[in-house]
Amino acid sequence: MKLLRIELNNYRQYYGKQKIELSIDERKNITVLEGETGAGKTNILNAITWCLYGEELHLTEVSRKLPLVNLTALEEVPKDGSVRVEVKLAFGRKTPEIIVERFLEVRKVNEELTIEKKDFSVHIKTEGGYTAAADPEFIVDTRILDRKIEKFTLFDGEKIREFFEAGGSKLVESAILDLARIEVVDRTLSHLDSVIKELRRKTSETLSEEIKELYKKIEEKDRDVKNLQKMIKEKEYEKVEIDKKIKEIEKFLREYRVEDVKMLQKERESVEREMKSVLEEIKKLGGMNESRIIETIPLIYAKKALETTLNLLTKEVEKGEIPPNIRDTFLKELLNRGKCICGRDLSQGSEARRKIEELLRKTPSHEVSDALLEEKYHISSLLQEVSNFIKASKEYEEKLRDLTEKRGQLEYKRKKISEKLRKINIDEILSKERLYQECRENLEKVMEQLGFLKSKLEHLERKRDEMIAEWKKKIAKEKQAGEQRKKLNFFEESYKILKNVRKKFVEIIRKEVEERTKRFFFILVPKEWTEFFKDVKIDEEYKISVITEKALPASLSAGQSQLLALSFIAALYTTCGIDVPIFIDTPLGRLSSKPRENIAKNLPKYLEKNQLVFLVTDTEYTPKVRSLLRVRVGKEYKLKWSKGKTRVEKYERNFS
Amino acid sequence: MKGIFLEKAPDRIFVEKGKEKKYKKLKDEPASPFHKRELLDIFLCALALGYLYRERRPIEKKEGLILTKTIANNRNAISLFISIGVAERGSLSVIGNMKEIFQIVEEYANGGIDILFDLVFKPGDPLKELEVKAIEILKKPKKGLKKE
Repeated sequence: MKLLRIELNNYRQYYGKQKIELSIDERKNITVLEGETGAGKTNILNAITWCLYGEELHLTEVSRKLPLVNLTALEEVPKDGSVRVEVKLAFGRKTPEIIVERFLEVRKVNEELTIEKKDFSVHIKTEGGYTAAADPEFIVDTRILDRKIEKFTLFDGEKIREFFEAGGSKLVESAILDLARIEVVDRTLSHLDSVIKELRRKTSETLSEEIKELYKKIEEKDRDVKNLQKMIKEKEYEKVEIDKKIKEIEKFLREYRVEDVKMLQKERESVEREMKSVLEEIKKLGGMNESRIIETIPLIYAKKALETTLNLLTKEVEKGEIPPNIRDTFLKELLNRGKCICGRDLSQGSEARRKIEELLRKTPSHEVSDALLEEKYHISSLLQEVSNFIKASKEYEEKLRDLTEKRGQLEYKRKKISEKLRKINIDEILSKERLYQECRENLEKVMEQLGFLKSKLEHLERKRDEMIAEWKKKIAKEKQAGEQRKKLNFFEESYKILKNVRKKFVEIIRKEVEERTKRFFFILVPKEWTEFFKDVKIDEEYKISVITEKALPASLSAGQSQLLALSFIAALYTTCGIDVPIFIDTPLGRLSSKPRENIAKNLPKYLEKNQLVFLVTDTEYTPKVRSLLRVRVGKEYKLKWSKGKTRVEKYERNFS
Repeated sequence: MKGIFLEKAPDRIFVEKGKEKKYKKLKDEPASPFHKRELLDIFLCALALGYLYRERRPIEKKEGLILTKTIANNRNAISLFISIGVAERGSLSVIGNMKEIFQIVEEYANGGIDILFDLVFKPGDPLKELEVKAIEILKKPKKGLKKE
């Protein structure tokens, strides 16, 4: 369903009635709304969410402090008069099929704003005209834009990098699962789970006290698991909040008016990026070393056995037994022919034939002798691997020492930067720096607690599953539980199958989104970056990373993260095939000219099936970008703000 | 060799009933160096420890642990099984009797799993201890080692 039209009336900056007709042309699928900072670009997103859900979901710090109603319109209204604030959205394929409208009438009484009237309605086109929907919220959720996926269709360009920051993997997971509509399967799984638990409980009640007691314990364990899951969720939320706080302080320091503060913060961020890289390397090295030891230890401990076998095989080779001087296939051929190569007769019963048959019996088959020869070489290579073990251990120790030293140096640098910041004689900076260090310490504590809780959860779930297995064994012995057991088996099997289907489906979607994100990313980035960036991965925990030529996750700059985010969005939509309009607010904000032009050239090509709306500043929408996008732009508007009023005007289409 | 191995081998590797819990714990516990690794990796380490310390223990009650087809993709595991079987019998002729080779390795692993389990779950760094022992063996290849 396309968004055909947005009508605003005294909504925020938008003074009076303003109309935006969006492009619905399949080839020219982009609408551009250009406006300087403060003109009301982000408030277009707010207008849409306010109209659909009664909430403005993209408010900035500034907007939050201002009322919904246009202040100029409010000032102009006569005493005892009111101002109507309205947003109307028309959806359809070519003509309006669904019209969503929300309004307020606001009056100012003694400096206070009161809402006199408000309404929300959805009108659906029928044969006779338009009919008001009895349940407008239901129509919005099911036929227009489910609130759950709103954040994946109305994007704030500055914020889309949240996909790659603290808590970002949850967002990525949510995006992939929500757009793939996995909640249908999840609801069914949840329902099956309830049915299974109820059946188990009912079954237990008809049986012995022992079984009843065991089931009560299972229910208790289940409650413990749920509580622990809740605690983990809370801790994860706490972690995200601390991380957000850290990012806010970093931004504050990075943009501070005093040059020294800015420089120190930038230096610290560079140290943090390097630290992250070093820690990843240490982790990777540790994993590789662990694998090396586990895989080689059995060979070393059984070295004597390998050597003995190799000696025996070598002797057989030297004796000419492996491979045999005469192959079994040759002997079989002779017997089949009934004549030796020297001409001697080998017919049945002959002495010569008997001797050949005797020789054939003693000769190992060619498959066996080939395999034994192969085994000899393989054992030889294993012993070579074994002999390299000490050298490999020394190399590991050296690499680890180097990395640990590097980590130490970075920790020292980090400490020094913090000290320098604290010495700057500005109270604001001192308090921010103290808070920053406090947040860092808290973050470490929370991560440790999370690790502990997750480990405990794994253990608890295992215990619970063992108790359920024991319970099943006990009821299997109870004849009277036969029917219920059959029912239970049916539901449990269904649950298992559906869970598997869900797992496979999610895996397929994740891989597909990963593949497409990678493809779009390498189309959007400048060519010279491809020497350093080699791959894009979305791991099983939904963490998106760009992988460097050293096979390590890259630390991305703000602009690079933006490119990755835009690639991810394109991947999401082309994978899930969802037909909703996509709004991107300042999509090119943090990019330099080359990547900006790359995106301008390529992004629309890959979202050509979707209606796209770009909310851009004049600095983003340069003549060059405008010219690159022009084949795809169906409509263009300028949001002109002046003295508290924004008006929507059509762009003059003079492409240079 | 892989093809011949599969043809004549039993369809699974057995352990002593009750000891499969040790294998599972070694695999499931986050603190274990074998956390989330394959059961075969754990079996091979148990086998190697059992062989090193000459702890060959017959299995009284069998419990299936690993399907033979899992081993088919692990070339080193096949070589290890065969080598231990050949070294135990002192002859290559045992290669024609995979059933016997399996019995030998299962019994050594039966002895080794207890050593491995105790090593992992006592205080200390089990991986480091295994590594140190391995280096000791490599530096003195001719001498045998007694269990401490």
